[in-house]
Amino acid sequence: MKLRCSQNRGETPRLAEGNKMATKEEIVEKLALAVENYKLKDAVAAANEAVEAGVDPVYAINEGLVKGMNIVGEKFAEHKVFLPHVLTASKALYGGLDILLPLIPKAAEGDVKTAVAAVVQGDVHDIGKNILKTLLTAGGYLVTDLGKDVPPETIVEAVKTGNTQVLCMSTLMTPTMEEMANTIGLLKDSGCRGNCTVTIGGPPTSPSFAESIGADHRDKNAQDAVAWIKANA
Amino acid sequence: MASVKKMTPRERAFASLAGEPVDQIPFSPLTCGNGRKVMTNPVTYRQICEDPHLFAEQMTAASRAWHHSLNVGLLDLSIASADYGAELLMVEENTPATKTHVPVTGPETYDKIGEGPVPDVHKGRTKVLVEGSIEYCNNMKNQDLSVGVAFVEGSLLSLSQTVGMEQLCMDMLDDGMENSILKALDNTTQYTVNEVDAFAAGGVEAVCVDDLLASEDIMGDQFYKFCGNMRFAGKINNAVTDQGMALAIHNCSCMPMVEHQTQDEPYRNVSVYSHAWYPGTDGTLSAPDFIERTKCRNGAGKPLTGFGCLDPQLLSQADPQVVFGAAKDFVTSVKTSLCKAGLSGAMYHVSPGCEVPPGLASHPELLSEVQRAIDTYGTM
Repeated sequence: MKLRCSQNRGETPRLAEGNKMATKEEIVEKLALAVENYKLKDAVAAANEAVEAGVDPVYAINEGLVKGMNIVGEKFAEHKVFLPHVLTASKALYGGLDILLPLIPKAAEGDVKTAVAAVVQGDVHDIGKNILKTLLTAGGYLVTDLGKDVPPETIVEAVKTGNTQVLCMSTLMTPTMEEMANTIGLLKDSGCRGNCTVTIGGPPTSPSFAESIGADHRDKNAQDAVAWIKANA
Repeated sequence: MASVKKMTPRERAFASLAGEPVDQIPFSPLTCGNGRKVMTNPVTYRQICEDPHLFAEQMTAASRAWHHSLNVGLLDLSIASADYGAELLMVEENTPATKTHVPVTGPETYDKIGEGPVPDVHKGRTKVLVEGSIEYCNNMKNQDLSVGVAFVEGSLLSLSQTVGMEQLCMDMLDDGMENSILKALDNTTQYTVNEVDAFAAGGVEAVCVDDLLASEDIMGDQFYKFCGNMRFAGKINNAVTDQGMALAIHNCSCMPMVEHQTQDEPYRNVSVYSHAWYPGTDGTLSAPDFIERTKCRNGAGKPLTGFGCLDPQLLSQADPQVVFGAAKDFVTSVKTSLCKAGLSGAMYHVSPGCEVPPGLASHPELLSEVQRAIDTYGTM
């Protein structure tokens, strides 16, 4: 996440009195490698080490966890690694984020863009949504993940209360595609459609379907969707 | 080929399974519970999931209404997971789904599945599938309607639906989990084989195995270890064909492994390959792609029929002209590709490449427009 560093930006802090403790650079490298190598335990350990050593959490996230996730994302786009690898890397990413995110001062989050991600009602297939959430987080967004089988009312409420800039909906199945239309309809009825960009995804969806239901965009995979969101939303 | 006499849908099915010429391109829509809408006394989706006779009745009604050559009894993908202990999301007018997976606490979870009893296919949700499939397959046979195709989840799909696809995918990369996962897959494989045995005993003529996860763009090399080998897919597939039933594989991944799943040893007896096509997805398999990439198998005297590719969302648009136009274009492209490859029209069936949406908003009656397009433009 490209948050503003609150402290120690650009400096190499003194991490230890002795010579056994790692430097700041070494710790963020460990974070990146943990994600790149799909190691949850290593990510958690490196995140705790970063906290203990007083490394700026924003710096640790951006230069460690996110850097590692971006490498995995690039390999995924090039078909050098596959879904199991991305999922395992994202598990490591979130293991580190769980420790580091709460340490970021609220002021640093002020200019961060926000997104809501959900699998629509009736569908419980959430892998695509989870990949998008991971890559969007790595791309600098604060993502509220509503999970799977989410009713339109819940999605609209989250968009309203979170002052959301981007809504991402997905479904794997044809039977539940109409729930995307229902959600957008409810967004319009509640008067907040204009406040956010709506993008959809999932194999059975198409750009023409997106247009027909009033969504702004549909993309064929999470990487391209995140690139589009960053450029357009 | 123009000399082939007029055939019934069921005759076209047999001709395609044998690799023989047909009078026109067969039509085999995956109608997924939409038959309930054309029953004399319509019922809900939930009812067909809970009553084997109603499941069979709606399948039979679908064959009568839309003249399937092959009619695949896809009900939903959560039947195995329910009988392995996952919690279901059951709604009134749509497919059920797995709501809460069996939580994985470590390799012991997979060990427990692997070492536990194989779920009884005559109990639970599987009972509805098995009894209903036998009934509709015999209805279609006895009434000379279609060839009924019983539908089962492949072993990897059963396990992924039970513990969650995401969880399973991650665990596949954990060396400490591998043996336990393989053991669990032995159990889900045997469960599917038991379903297949029950179908054979009940007089079913064809079985479709869903290999949803089985794609290189999803799993990479993990596919070969956890699915596409003789221990799992090969065991199920041989159980089907050893008992004289035709074998269909359904794989609606974005980029199914079509060469592997139609030519390699575990899949050497596949007669029908059902696949989806996703507009806007790079590398997705179109009907012409399928025909081109698999023609060598047909050339080698091992008949293989493709199945799919018409956009199922057409049936949600409620516009007969749009449906007819799209079907006309599709049928024409299939016919051209078949001629180019030197194959009979039997070697590809027109079908929506994924299920026709079963909710109340879809318009399965528009399948008649697809049939009309085939009648007009699909004659061989």
